[in-house]
This record gives sequence, structure tokens and C-alpha cells, in this order.
Amino acid sequence: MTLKWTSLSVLALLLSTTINSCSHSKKNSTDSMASSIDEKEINVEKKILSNGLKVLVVENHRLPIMSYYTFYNVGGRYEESGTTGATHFLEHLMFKGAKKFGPGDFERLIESNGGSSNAYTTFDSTVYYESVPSTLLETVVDLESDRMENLLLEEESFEKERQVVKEERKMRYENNPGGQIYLATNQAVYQGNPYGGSVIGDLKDLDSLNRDQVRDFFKKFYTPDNAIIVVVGDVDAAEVFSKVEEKMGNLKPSSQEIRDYKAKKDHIDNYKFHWNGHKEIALHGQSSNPLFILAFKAAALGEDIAYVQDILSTMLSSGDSSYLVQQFVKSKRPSMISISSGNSNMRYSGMFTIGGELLPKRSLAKAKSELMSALKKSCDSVVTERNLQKSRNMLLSGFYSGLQSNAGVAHLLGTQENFFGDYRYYKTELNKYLSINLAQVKSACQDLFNSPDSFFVSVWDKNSKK
Amino acid sequence: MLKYFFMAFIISSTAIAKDYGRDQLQNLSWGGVDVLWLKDDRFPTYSISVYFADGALGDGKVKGSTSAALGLIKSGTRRYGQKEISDTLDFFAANLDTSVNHEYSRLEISGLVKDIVPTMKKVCHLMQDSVYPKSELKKELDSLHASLANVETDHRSLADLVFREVSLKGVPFSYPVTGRMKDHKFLNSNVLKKRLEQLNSEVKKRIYITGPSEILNIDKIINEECGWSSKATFVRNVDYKSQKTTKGPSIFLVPVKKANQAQVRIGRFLNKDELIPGDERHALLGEFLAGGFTSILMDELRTKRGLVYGVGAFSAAQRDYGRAVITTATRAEKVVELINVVKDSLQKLSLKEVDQQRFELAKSGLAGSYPFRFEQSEHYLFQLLFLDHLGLSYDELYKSADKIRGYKLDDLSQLANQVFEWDNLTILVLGEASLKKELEKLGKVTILNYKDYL
Repeated sequence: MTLKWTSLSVLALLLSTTINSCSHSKKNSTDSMASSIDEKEINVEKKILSNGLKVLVVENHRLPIMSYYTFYNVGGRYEESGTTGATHFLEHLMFKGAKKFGPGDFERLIESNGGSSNAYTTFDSTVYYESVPSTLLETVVDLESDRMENLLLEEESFEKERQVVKEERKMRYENNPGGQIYLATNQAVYQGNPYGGSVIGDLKDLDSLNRDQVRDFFKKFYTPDNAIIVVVGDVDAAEVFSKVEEKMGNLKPSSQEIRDYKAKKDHIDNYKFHWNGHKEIALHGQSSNPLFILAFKAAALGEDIAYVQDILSTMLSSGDSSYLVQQFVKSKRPSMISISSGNSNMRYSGMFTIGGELLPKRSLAKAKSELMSALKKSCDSVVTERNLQKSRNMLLSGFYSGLQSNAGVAHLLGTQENFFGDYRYYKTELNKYLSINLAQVKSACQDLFNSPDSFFVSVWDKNSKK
Repeated sequence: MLKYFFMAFIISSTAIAKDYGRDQLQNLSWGGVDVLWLKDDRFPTYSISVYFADGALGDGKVKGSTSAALGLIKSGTRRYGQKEISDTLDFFAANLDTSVNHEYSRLEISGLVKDIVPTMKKVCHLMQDSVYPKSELKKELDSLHASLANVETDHRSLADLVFREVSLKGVPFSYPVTGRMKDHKFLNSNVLKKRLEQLNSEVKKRIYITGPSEILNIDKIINEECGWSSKATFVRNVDYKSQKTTKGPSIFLVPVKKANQAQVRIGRFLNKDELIPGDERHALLGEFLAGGFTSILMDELRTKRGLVYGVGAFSAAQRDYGRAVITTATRAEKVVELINVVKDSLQKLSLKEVDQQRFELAKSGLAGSYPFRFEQSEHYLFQLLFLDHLGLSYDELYKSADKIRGYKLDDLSQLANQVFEWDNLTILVLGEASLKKELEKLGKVTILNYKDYL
């Protein structure tokens, strides 16, 4: 999901990004700038500890603050039937105390100094992040080290947090038609493969998950060789490396058994699609306007075609002037309130989606038919030189704004390192984007929309309750 | 543990400077229109915010006209249709957004520096020449009404919408800035053109711009093509009768179907005479109540009881009024327990029966977050825009951390006692109709039909 933006944000950086420092830095501003970033490249310093922990640092002395990201290569794809939601539940519990810093200490230390912290979980990754005054570097390293090694998982916190996760599930998915249709589409498209579960967790699994299961998950995957740390801000790279080495250098990497387990789980054969032809799912939901998602099989992260499909998606639905918006929302007789497309690439698979909300009294069947027809026609009418340039401009503009913060830069670099094993992979991605031509986009468009394989999922209060 | 906490606090407190980026600010005048430029050459992008000193209070008889006049500015001019306009702006990767509240309005433009000139020419053309074609207006309103008709599926937004109007009943700020559905039949091309013309030629403007120096070459476009000048001097002012205190909280239930959570809103309207300009205690109160996991309500509601996923709180002032609000949601059977925990927490604060360390923690947290207010230029400029709107000096921003550090627990409890006095609050619950019986344990419950507020 993040690659599209990540890739393009890197592209934006390469074209002319510089991150300036100002006079309030604890270092000389000119020197610090020159050492960290030049006109075409973020100056990253990287170190891999002997236990496999990767550390990336970008010095940015503009303000006395920093962002600290920890990417773990673990997500919902490693969950088994009966333990869905374990990764996300564990993410919550990572804030509930460890051996040195007990319950409440993490938040107290971060927040009392004006910082903030949070985390997110996907099928591919679990990511923790803190934005804090840079004087807190040592504290943050200590906190992250403590919870990577010695998570408490106390019973009382565990049970309270189970209720919190269930409230989150209600908010995001049960009481929200958008969440309901997203979950159903994901499970349909990836049925039978590790992406076909549920990151938030099935309710029955959330009720039955126990501490031993979660602890087992923690021990397997929260190891230094399965993590990447990215620090961006008013720090000295050598000092960061030294402190991380001191606090985390002795943590044990995962065993060969776990590495074999992961390799087996990540075998590409596990991620094949298990369906063919056109399928439909009609879900009963609260929405009085029909919502739909039309999903196609798409590429995994890093595949050449994924970059072409990114451009295609932008051409189709970014901005009021885009083809799908003009056809269905802004036309003389509109049929929809909104429409959008997305190219969602994960580590081992992907899907291309078009989603929308119909105006009242519009037929879902007719909308689907018109949409299918319009998509096929789009390959001729949408793929133009002007639209290609427009897409480049739009993506470029969006990405510069994402890089105004230390957190944005840290997220960008960590994502590249996490998915491609090299933060510098953005150079490759840049070349891929810049070399895309109209013929490639047209061909990708035709392959995608002439495919017999698609899922049409709808949520509507008129759909049958069965 | 305490040692770590205080060590970190002391270090960060001493490290904080006061005026990040102030030397990058420059006051300009473009044909008499005041401009504030924040130089930022990190990226080849720009951001412009045009402040209009009037908002929805200037709607006149047709409610929602200011919001529509600005919000539908891309719907068509005498020369260009909707598609051509959006194609031009999209090609330049320019974002053109509008924001209208009761007191003021904003036009927000951002994009790539290389295209700022043609983009601003187009924006000026839209401001001068928009005609709001009937067919486009109908489409937009049909779409808006279809979304509103489906709002029952979005419980959070619905609770916010009804609560705002109910808790502000009787003051000019209560009516939705977009108007209600029944008002929209009065929105037509002539009404919107007239309102746009007022905003262009009568209402005072101020421009906030950030980016590299190349972006300053739009000055002539602003004067000659937007036609904005110092002649426009109107500033919206409003008088209203202060709201009196009540006896006992007013409790409302908004029934919706199939709600497995109850949305809870607690708060009230703050009269102008209750507000002290530049009073940072309001921000501290929000931080203390719900600013992160260490806040009193997150601790009591989520950490200790697992009742909620999240809770928010703010006490904040516009120029002529303020609002104090607590926002959360829980499973239906726990709603009364939740409200009682909130009541108990507020009373403890009012009586200063809270841990001094927790107070110090909120204070150091809010003061320590000060440098983050300058990380993103757009955000930095907005804070200055708002200070100008309030008529306050920029020093209020630069001194805010020191001011926060100077507060005592007495200061906060006094404010909490004033703005969150339980008997003076409005409590609104949105959930299943069956909640009425449970809520009656707290007092008289008034049932509201949400459709009356759309």
C-alpha cells in the first residue's frame, strides 16, 4: 500500500530536494547541511551490527528534534488460522511495559518531554515511531532496546488491551461500511494465501488469543536481525551508532529454525491467487448508498509492471479532471458521489482496485457494467502524453509535502530498506518511473482490464443479509 | 524511574529556543494587501493561504452561501467549464482548497514553484469570473445531499454535527457553515456571484505565503488579476448575548440503528467574556485531559478500564467565542460508567485532587512539543494567521512554552472548574434508542432526531 507513495516520494527527492538547517541547530548549519544532504541525494549513514540489526541515520539540524522509526519485518502474513490479529494485538502490548521500563514508563518518558509515539501494523510490517526532542536519543534507544528484549506481557494489561482492540475493530470495520468493504475485498482477493487473513483479527480469534500465543509471536519475530532502525533529525550519526551498539549490540538474533520458518512461510508459491474468473460478493451493510470495489489481480512490490500500474492509477482517478471522475462523478448525468482507484502492492502480491459510492436510486448492476466498459475504453482515451506529464507533476507535488518532516524522511528510507534491502533503491525506482512510456501504460491498461479475473464487492443496506 | 523522567525533562527544557524561523519571516505589501512570507527553500514547492476577514456569519439570508461561493469556485466561469478548470489545475499539480468557519474564510493554494504563475492566474480568474453554472450547482448539491442522507453510517461525524449545534444553541455560531439541506434551494448563481464579489472587493484580506524567493513574483497577479487591494476593509464583528449557566447537565440521546458503540460528546459553549486573549491554559487543559497516553482520561478510560480506543479533549477560543469538548466512544453497555468516570476526573481536577507529578508531566509535555510547531512551514504559518485573526502579537507563539511552564495547578483547576463545570455541560450520546433508560440514571434525557440537523 505504501510503495506507490514511497517510490514517488523518493523520485521527488532526487529531482531537487534539499533539507536545510537553520540557525537554531546545535551544530553549524552550513556544515551540517553539507554533510547530510546534497542536491540529488539524501545523505544516509548506514551500519549493520553483528547481530543483524540495521541502523540508518540522516542528520538534519534544522530544529532540535528527531524521529526514530523501528521497522519489524513481521505482519499479518505470519498469522495462522485461529491467531488472526496477533501481530496487531502485540503492537498494542509493546506499549504496556518491559523489564527496565515498566507499564506507563514508555509514554511518560516520551510525552513528558513533548514527544509523541505510535505504531501501525500491516500484513507485511509492524512499525513503531517516536518524534521527540533530540536530547532524548539515549532514552529512546534504551526504551526500544528494553521492549525488543524484555516485553512483560502482564495479564492485567493483556486483558484490558484486548477490550481496546475490540473497540478499535468496531470503530474501523464493524461500524464503518468503508472498513467493512475493504476487509471483505482483501479476504476475497487473497483467499487461501497469507494475505487473506485480517490484520485487526477475527472477533473469535481476538477473544481466544492468549498470552502464550502472543509471547511466542514476540519471541519469533522481535529480534535485531528482523528490525531496521531509522533516525532522522538533530543527531550525530556516530553517536547514534554508538548508543544503539551499546544497548542493542548484545541482543540475540533469531535462530536458524525461525529463519527457516520465515523462508518457508514467505515462499512465493504460498502467495498465488486461488481464484479465476469474475466473482461477486454482495454484503449487507448500513450504507443506504451502494459502495463497491472492483478488484483485479496485480503485481507485488518492485515488479516493473507495478510502477506502470501506479501511473495508470493516477491517470485514471487523481484529480477532478481525471477520466473516472469525469465519467462517473462530474458528467452531465452522474451516477456516483465519488470514485477512486488504487494500486496496492504488497511484498509478495498486489491488487488494483477501483472503488466508489453510488448516488441514491442508481443500479449497482448498471454501474458495474458501465464501469467495466469505461475501463476498457480508457486504455485509448486516458493514456496520453499530457496525462503522463500530469501524473508526474501530481505525484511529485504530493511527495514534496510528505518530506517536510523528519518522520516523513525516516518512513521513506525505512520502507525502502525494509522492502528492498537497500534504502538507496529509490534510485532504481526513479529510473523505472522516468522510463515509463505511453505504450507501456497502454499495454498494462489493456492487460488489466481485459483480464477475465476480477472481484466485484458491494456493501448496501438493500443487499441480502445472508 | 523518576530519575529518568526528570533528567530528560530538564535537558529538553533548557534546550528549547524561543523563535525558530522568525528570522525567515518577512512582511510585504502587495498593492496595500498585507503579505507575510515565510522563506523556505527546502523544496521547489509553495503554499499560499489567503485570509478573508469574514466567514459564514456574513451569509445573510442565504445560509451556506459563503461556503458554497468559495467551495464551488471550480465549477465554471464565463470562459471555462468545470473540466477545463480542473484539467489546468491538475496539470500544474496545484491543490486549491477552501475553508470557511463562522468568523473567517481561507483560500488555500499549493503546488510546484515552476507553475505558480499560471496557477495563480487561473485562481484569480476563478475568483473574478466564476458564474456557478446551474447544471454544475445541481450536481454538487445532489451529491452533497446524497452524502448527508447516508450520514447515519458515520456515527462519529454525525455525533459531532449534532453536538455542535445543540451545545451552541442560542448563539450565532451554532448554525452549520454549510447551511442545512433546506437552505440549499436558495443557493443559485446570482447569490453565489454576489457573495464572491463581496469577498473580492469588500472583505479585508491578508496573504500568508511560504516557499523560495521565486514565488514572490506573483505580486502583480494578485493586484491586477485578482484585483485585491487595500480598498477592501470589511472585518466581520459580532455581538451576542452571553449564555447563562444551567442547573444540571443537559443530556441528549440521538438514536441510530445498529450501533454497537455509543458515541459520547461532553462540553459547552464558552462566552467571549470568559476568554482571556493568549490564555495558554486552554491548551494545557486539553493536554492534561486527553493529550496522549499519560493524560488523565486516556489513563482512566483506556489504560485502567479498557473502555475506549481513544479519547479527545480540547478547550479553545476563536476570536469571539470558544468551545470546550470531550469526545469518545465506548460499547453501549458501558456508556454510563464512562460518563461517570469523566465526571469524576473533571471534579478531581477542579478540586485539585490530582497528582502534582501528572500536572507537571502535562506541562512539560506541552512546553516540550514547542519545536514541533515549526517543523512544517504550512503549519507554522497557519499559527501566525490565527494570531492575526485573534488580534494578538506573534510573541504569543514564541512565548507560549515559557507561559505554559509558569502555570500552577491552581491555574488549571480554576479553568477546569470554569469551562467543565458539570452542571453547565451538554452531554450527547449517539447510539441505540434502548440507551435512554440507562442514561436516565444520570438525569432527564431529551431525544433528538438527527435528521433535524442535516
